[in-house]
Order: sequence, then C-alpha cells, then structure tokens
Amino acid sequence: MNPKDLNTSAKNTWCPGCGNFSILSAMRNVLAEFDGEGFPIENVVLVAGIGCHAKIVDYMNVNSFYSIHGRALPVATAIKLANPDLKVICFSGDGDSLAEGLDHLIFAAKRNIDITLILHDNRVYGLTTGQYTPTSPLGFKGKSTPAGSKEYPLNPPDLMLASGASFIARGYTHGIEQLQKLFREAILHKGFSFVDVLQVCVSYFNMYESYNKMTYEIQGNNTGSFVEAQKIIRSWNYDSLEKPIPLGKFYDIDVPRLDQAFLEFKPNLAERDAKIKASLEDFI
Amino acid sequence: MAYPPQKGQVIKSDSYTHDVAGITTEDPQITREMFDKRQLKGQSLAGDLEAYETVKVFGDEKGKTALLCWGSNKGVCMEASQKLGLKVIQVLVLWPFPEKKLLDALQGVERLIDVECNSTAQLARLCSFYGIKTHDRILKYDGRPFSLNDLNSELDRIRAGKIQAGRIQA
Repeated sequence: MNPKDLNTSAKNTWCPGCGNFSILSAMRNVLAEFDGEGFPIENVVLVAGIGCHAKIVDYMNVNSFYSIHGRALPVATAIKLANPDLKVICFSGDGDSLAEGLDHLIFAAKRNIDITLILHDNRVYGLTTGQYTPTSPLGFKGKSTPAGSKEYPLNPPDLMLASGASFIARGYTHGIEQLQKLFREAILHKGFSFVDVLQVCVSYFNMYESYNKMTYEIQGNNTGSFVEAQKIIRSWNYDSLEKPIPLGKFYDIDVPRLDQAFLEFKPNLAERDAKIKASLEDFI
Repeated sequence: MAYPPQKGQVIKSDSYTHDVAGITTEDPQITREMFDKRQLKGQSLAGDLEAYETVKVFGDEKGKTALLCWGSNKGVCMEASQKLGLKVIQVLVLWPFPEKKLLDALQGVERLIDVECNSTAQLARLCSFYGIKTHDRILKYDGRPFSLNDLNSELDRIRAGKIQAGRIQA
C-alpha cells in the first residue's frame, strides 16, 4: 500500500508549517507499512478528541471515531474491549488529554490497556487561538494570560510513568524518521503506549528554534528501569529553555493489561450483530 | 450500523457536524441541514415516548385538589393524599415535556399544589411554559426530604389560607 492511498478528500486546514503535518505523514507511512506486513488497515481504528490534533482523523482514510473534548481514551478503551483484535490508536492534544481529559489519561495508564496515545503536545490551545495549557511554561504569555502564566507546567511522561504506562517515549515534529520509529514501536507494544510529541504550533507557540537547539536523541538507555526512565524524564520539566531535551524511548516493560482480563467474554460477533439489528428494528 | 473491521470499507464516526462521507465540516448549508435533522430525531423520540408512561396518577383519581410532584417526593405525597383525599400527579419525564399526558391527568382538577425539594419551583416553572398553572407551592430546601408531618402541616396552612405560592417557613 502506498501511504498516499490513505489520503481523503478533506481540505487540510492546519496552518502552513504546523507540526501536525509530520505526525500525519509519519502515521500514514507506519500504517501503510503494517498493511504491507500482513496487518490489514481495516483492523485499525483511529480515535481523536477535539482540537487541532483531531482533524488528523479526517485526513486519513482509515476507520475513525472523532470523539468529544478530552474523551478520546474512554472511547478507545471501549473499542479495544469490544474487539481486542483491533489496533486502536488515539490522537490527543495537551489541552485535550492533560486538562479536560486528564483523569482518562491516568486511568488508561493505570489499566495498562493495549492502546496507543499520540499526544500532539504543542503546549498551547491552537484551535482557540492561543491560551496556556498544562504544559505551557511558567510565564507563558497567551490570550488568557497576558501578564504571563503563573503556573509551572506538568511533565506528562513523568505523570505517565507514575500512573503505570508501560511504554513511554518522546518525539519531535522536526524528526519524522524518529517519529515513525517511535510510532511503530508504540503501536506494536502490548499495553498502554504513550508518545509525547513536541508538536510545534507555528501560529501561537513557535518553538522550532529552541527545540532544534535543545533536543537530542537518547541512546543506550535501559528502558526496563523505572529509576533510569524517571531520571531521564525529569532531566527536562517543560519549564526551561536552557536544558537539553531528551527524545526517544524512555520506558518499555511487559506487564499484565486490562484487555487480557476480558478475553473470556469475547463475543460471538455474528450473534452480537443480529442482536443489535433486532433491537434497532424494534426501536425504529 | 457498521463496525470495523470491514474489508475494503472505511467506517467513520464523528461527534462534530459532518458530511455524508463522515468528514467534519463547517459548511453553513450542511450545518443547517444537520441541525434540522437533529430536530427531526428529537421529534421522533418525543413521538416514541407517547407509548410510555410519562405521567403517573395516584390517590383519589377524582379529587379536585391535586399534588404535583416529581422524583422521590412521590412517597410522601401519596401518604399525605390518603388522609385528605387528594389526587397525586407525578411527572416521570421532564423533557420532551409530556404536555398532553399532564393535561389529561389534570382533567377535573381545580386546585394544583406543587410540592418540590428545591428553592425555585423548577417543575412549576417548566409547567408554566405550557400554560399549566400551579395554585400553591410547597418548597423545601434545607437539604432534608419532606417528612409526612412537614407536608401535612404545610397543607394545613394552605387550607387555612395562610400560604399561597409560598415556601416552608421556619
């Protein structure tokens, strides 16, 4: 399959230079590769919340559920439990999953359900034109904080590590090959996989210069060690422009997951369809 | 209804206003059409509700004075009605408002006493949108449910002409 086969006719409305284009392109490539490797595209379901990130599901000719603000993960959890054979990939933003939907994010990690979350972490509300989010740095001057934000940012990978996520990585939208590698590994990982993507918002928080200077790819780290992962993750807390920013895979362990707990209830799909049809006909 | 996986098919679900292909849109024409479509869905849901019991009547069905209530005030209203021979009307579904069924239940009622556990007579105000007038209001909002004594003493005050559209006083 050619990744271009996964395009739709939807008009792309991201700003020119938006980091979301890299995420779209990387994900298209990965899914096309999977299809070629015998994992059919129809077994993939994409789920999005609300925000600039969410438009991605309109731009991919793949099964999708464009959910509501902060609720990508509950929808994805239900899809995975209903049919564990599907690969469920969530897209969410820092406003979507760290503010409105924070509890869902923590619970997805705690449950270690086998879904992937790609966090489009642009550290600003882009769709609503520039308010501070949970990952905006202290002093961020946005439309809702003209005098500068008075809050320190959250460190999302640190939160995920504490909450029980079994795969944690960070990418940057200026490194599409690395993004592809991380997406691929995250999707293949069995358990809750979290990829924090430093996705630059050119219109409201353009960090290209700073990220280009400060990011580096981490290598040779022990991804099975909680302590080591925590040390790497805490080496940059989203608050400083002066500290090096590690990219790559921080944590990858194999532990029991929620979707395994329900395999005995695997439904007879034909029977379930018939039941749903019958009750719908009854209702309509 | 379609569920993945379906070979050769792409299944799109969208909470946002979308076109027939399931792609999000802010096109004004489609937006208007989708609003109209949702209105039709609402109307057909309201139509379906006619087959359900949305208003219940207890107590003396021929009583000329009725207590109007919703939710858990039903029990205390039924108990109070036994002594005084009142009709009790409980609204089960608030929206879509069961206007016709409520009007049917009000046949023969000359005085309607609203009994609610909130400070603003929410049900009575909703009824007033439909021209349904409540003559008296007994409202309790101290964080505790009505006891039978509470309700009886308020009904006594109404009968003595002491309160109208009033609230429980300390």
